[in-house]
Amino acid sequence: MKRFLYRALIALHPPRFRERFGDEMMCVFDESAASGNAKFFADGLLSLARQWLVRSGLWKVAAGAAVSALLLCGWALAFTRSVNRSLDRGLEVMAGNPAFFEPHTSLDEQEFEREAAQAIAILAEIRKAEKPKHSDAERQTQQHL
Amino acid sequence: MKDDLKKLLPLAPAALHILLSLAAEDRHGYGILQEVARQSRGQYELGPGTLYDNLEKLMRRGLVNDAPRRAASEDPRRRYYRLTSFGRRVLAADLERLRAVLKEAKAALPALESRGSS
Repeated sequence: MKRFLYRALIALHPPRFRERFGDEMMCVFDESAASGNAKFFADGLLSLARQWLVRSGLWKVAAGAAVSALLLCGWALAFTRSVNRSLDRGLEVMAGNPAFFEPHTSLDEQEFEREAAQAIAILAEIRKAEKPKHSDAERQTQQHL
Repeated sequence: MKDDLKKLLPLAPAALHILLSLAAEDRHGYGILQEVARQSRGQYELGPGTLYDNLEKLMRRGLVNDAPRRAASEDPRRRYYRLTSFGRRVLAADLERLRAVLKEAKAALPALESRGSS
């Protein structure tokens, strides 16, 4: 069981290290079995962390990701602050100008309704003026027939 | 070449013990572990992970290289390692450094002891 676990620990090492030293590490484990090799597990775990994090260059990827995340956070913070500042400035301008708060919309609506009513009245007059002409023409056609 | 030596000093404890264990003869991994334990009177025990990580570094820097297998009847997984002449010079330089440290420590020790007792 211990041998199987140690082999699994070696198998988790980066391929470059495992292919070069994996068999030898297993050989040392087998040779030291009589004298006790319980400490080898702690050493194996440390070695695993060292090989992946330090020797394989994974730490560079992790550091790059951390720096990118920090830059992204900094940019997002600066952007949010800039938007907040613009909004504050806008609100200040609006607060300094009371015209912003007058009910423009209701005035516009009344004007629109008045103009619409005028337009409808004009259309009705046009129709009224056109209708008799049309009926005279129809009447003439019927008499002719 | 002297600059190369300086770049490698001081040696890490594990590297120093490994080079020291290979100073007398070529050894395989388990042999190195046993020799390190013997030299340090059991106070410094290396595990295979630390041993091979250090061996890889020492080989890459040209301080240690592979040695031929001694007997065909041996476990085929066993590989022997040998100290190179450059490795021997680096070891000698580090031992010289340690000797100087020890000399300073011995000179400072009476003063430290007298301060401790007062």
